[in-house]
Amino acid sequence: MENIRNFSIIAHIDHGKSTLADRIIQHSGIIPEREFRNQILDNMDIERERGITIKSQTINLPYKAKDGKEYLLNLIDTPGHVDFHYEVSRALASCEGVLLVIDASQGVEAQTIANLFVAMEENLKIIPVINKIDLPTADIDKVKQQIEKELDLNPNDAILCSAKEGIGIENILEAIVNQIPPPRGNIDKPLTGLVFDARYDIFRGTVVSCRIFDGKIKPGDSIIFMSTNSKFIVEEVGIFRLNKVSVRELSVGSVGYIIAGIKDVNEVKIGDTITLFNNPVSLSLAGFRESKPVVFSSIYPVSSEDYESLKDALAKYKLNDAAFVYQKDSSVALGLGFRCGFLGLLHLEVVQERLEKEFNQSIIMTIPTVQYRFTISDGQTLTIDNPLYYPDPSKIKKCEEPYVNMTIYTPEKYFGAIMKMCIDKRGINSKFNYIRQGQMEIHFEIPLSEVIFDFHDKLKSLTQGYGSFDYEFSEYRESDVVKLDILINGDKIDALSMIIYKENAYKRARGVCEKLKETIPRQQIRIDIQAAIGSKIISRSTISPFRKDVIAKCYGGDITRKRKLLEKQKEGKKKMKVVGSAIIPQNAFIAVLKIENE
Amino acid sequence: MNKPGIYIHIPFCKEKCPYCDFYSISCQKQNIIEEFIYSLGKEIFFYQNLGKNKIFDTIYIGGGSPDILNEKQIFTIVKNLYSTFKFSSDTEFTIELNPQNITREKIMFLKDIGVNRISLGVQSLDEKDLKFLCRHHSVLSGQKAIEIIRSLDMALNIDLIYALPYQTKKMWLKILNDAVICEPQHISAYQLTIKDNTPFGIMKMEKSFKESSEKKQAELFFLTSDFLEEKGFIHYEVSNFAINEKYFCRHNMKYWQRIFYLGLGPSAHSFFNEERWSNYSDVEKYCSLCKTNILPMEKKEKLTKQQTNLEKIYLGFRTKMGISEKDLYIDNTEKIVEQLENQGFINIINHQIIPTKKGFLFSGGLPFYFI
Ligand SMILES: Nc1nc2c(ncn2[C@@H]2O[C@H](COP(=O)(O)OP(=O)(O)OP(=O)(O)O)[C@@H](O)[C@H]2O)c(=O)[nH]1
Ligand code: SF4
Ligand SMILES: [Mg+2]
Repeated sequence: MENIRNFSIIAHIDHGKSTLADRIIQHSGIIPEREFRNQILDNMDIERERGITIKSQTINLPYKAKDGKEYLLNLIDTPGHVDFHYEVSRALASCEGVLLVIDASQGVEAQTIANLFVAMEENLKIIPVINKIDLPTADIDKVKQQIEKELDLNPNDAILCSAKEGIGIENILEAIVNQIPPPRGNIDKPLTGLVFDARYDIFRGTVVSCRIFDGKIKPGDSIIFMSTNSKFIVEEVGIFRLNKVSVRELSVGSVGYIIAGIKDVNEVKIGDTITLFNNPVSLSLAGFRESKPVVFSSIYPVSSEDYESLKDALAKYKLNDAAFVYQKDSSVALGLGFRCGFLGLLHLEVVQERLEKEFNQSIIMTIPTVQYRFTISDGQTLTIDNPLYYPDPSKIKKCEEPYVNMTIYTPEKYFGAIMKMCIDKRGINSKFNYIRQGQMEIHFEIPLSEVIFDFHDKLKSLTQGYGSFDYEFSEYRESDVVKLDILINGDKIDALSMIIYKENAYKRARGVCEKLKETIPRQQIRIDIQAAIGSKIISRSTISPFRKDVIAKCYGGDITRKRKLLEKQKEGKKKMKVVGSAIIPQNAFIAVLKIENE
Repeated sequence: MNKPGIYIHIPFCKEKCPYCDFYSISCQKQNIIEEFIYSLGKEIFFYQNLGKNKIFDTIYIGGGSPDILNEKQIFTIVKNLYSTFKFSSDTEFTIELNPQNITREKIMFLKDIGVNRISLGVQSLDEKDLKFLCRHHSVLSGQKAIEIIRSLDMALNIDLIYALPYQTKKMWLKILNDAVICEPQHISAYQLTIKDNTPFGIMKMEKSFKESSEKKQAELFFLTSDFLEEKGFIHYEVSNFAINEKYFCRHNMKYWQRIFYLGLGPSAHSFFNEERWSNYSDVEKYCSLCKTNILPMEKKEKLTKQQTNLEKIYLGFRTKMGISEKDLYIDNTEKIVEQLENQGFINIINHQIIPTKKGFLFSGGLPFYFI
């Protein structure tokens, strides 16, 4: 145990955590050079496509230190994006220290501070690392000042590094073994293991990632999960190299995985404590704080027949993304589905993409919404994140919506266009400064609801892809919102209802009516599309009916041809929803959900 | 119990009409026709087991153009039928004929061998229409044929095609009126529909042919129904009218009501015991298979419960008998039924969903709500 070091690499987004992890892994020599690729721990498709880390990733590495001893390092690479902050806090629960990476040119940023706080709360040893010193724009002195002033750490402890060039890696490794304490705990005490992650494997069942705080665990042991009180026999334990490597036992201080034939994913809760059935601990570990979602949307299967499959996929997905929360939901128009909470828009996109790609689900997501706060006439405050539960408008005394502090990074030539967008989207109190020649940072305050709508796409198109943004919650502020309903032949399409800033409602209403008109095919009956606030219709469109159908002759008793046609239509109908007597293809819903707030 | 029927497909025409997509070849070579008659005889014989313990009550000889056959050939077919299957004494025996070459003798001959209903391919009673449709008979020959058939006391259906691109309401009304004057017991009035892979279809693709508008077609449809109803006809199926129930086409009703039928000849379709099968649409293949004692069957399928349900729904929308509410098999149809009734597509009478005239016009699309 004296030779084990458990640590995480934490930083603001893009400061070079995964690249630093690459160098440390290469130094250990466990992966042949020709099998190496950059950001090797970012192994999900979506991570590689987007060039960011989404999930914390653990890897076990041998290291022979200058003192001549062999150490085993458990390195956890974490994501830097604020939406995945929860991944960081879970990772840190298994560590005794962190490398706090700071980009030498960008300096200390929002997530540098946020992540540092988590590490301090956990009483971890913090080793500052100034990365990217190879950059011409690197300003080491300025960063050292920030470390002292803004982070309240000793700048002399900071290690200079270029993860890209492989500079400073030895120093970092020596600091890890010398400064970060070995894990504490007692091998003779009853087993106490913290479940900090899990993944479902179709062959082996749930694979649990676990940090052992006391005792040890080996195949054949009977274990129980303390919160669900379910019992399993351990089949295999092991450590994480690039792949899983089974070992004889996991003992105190180590980080590894456990396979115990757990087929029901609901038996495993992230943050739960594992102990031995025959010799249990009395108290479970503290576990993790619940994550607090800020963006909400409902997920429905494209075909209602796939509800069970979606349900199953979500349970398995949740194992691997503890920040994702969901509960049952149902819509008249879209049938059974789930109301889901996300830590931000990127998180929402990741969930959507992983469900589609990794879990083969075809899903429809409703318009994302934030959490509104309503004060109603009897003084009660209601928090609403689903248009379905919008309070009676006559009783609303005050409505508030969340604002965020937005930072946009952009080449200066797009400044004007961005400011215009900022105003269109109700941004206020803007400030800006140059971070270096030609490159600007624009700050303003803006409702989160405007950010989750089409902010990302818009910014990217305005800046030809060069702009990026970052935001953090600031506070709730008073706002004038309404609930906009969409009706088809008088039936409210609940899945299309939205809570929206009043002044945006008219434009959006028109957009939705037009989009539905474009996407719903003509039918035997006339289709009236209306957008309404309460009982007031604010926009409408009509799809005129067919005047006749093709009247086929079923000549010579050929019934089959027409039946085949209907069977095909029936198949297609699975992708449609019948609302009253109108038949609405799913793609009409999807189209509406994608409308831009032009 | 409902008795089964027999359909015989004669796959020859003098010349293909430009709108027709039924299976037939233009051929008058006697040796091929003889070979077909012989093969048909064999096919009839193949089904002698199926015919055991059954009494049939309709025969329908269609095509193609059965009038390509000479008396001897027709006689051979009929003789083969009579010697293989049992028929009820009131069997409805229809043959499709074109107006040209109809003589008193020919009809008398048909009557003698048991035919009691003629379906006459008049198509129009306007010379211009007949030219447009490339039909090889005149209005006069049509009228003459009708007269002969009526005088010999045969039940008569006349086929009419309307909604030609240039046709006005007035033009069509005149044809309808002239048709009614001839006192047929049955009228089949089909809208000209343009099928792909027909000469008209190709012209349409090349944009040298324009169908009449949806609006116009709908208007003519209602005009037809209103006019014929006023003249005492019952609009009992989307395109079919009869002066009383006795003259509903018993054979075609089997298709719509899912009563069993045996189809013989190339491209013919059969339905027995929830099985549907069909023959090759290829005279040569048909003949060579029959001659080597192989059923000329191309496809056969056993209907699933779902398919049966589906058929009941869409066939139900075609006739006045409608669909029984208990045959609606998907959930939550109440609201749709109510809306369709409010909008005049259907009436509900004794738990039976009965399409209205407007419902007939939409018989192609309404089933979609119930599948
Ligand atoms: N010049 C230079 N670039 C670096 C260095 N380290 C990382 N980078 C680059 O910085 C970008 C981000 O690197 P990553 O390692 O993916 O950053 P990260 O902190 O893991 O990012 P997230 O996981 O998304 O938070 C990549 O383009 C790297 O090539 C360095 O020392 N010097
Ligand atoms: S005669 Fe009848 S079957 Fe023959 S081509 Fe003309 S329409 Fe078709
Ligand atoms: Mg990374």
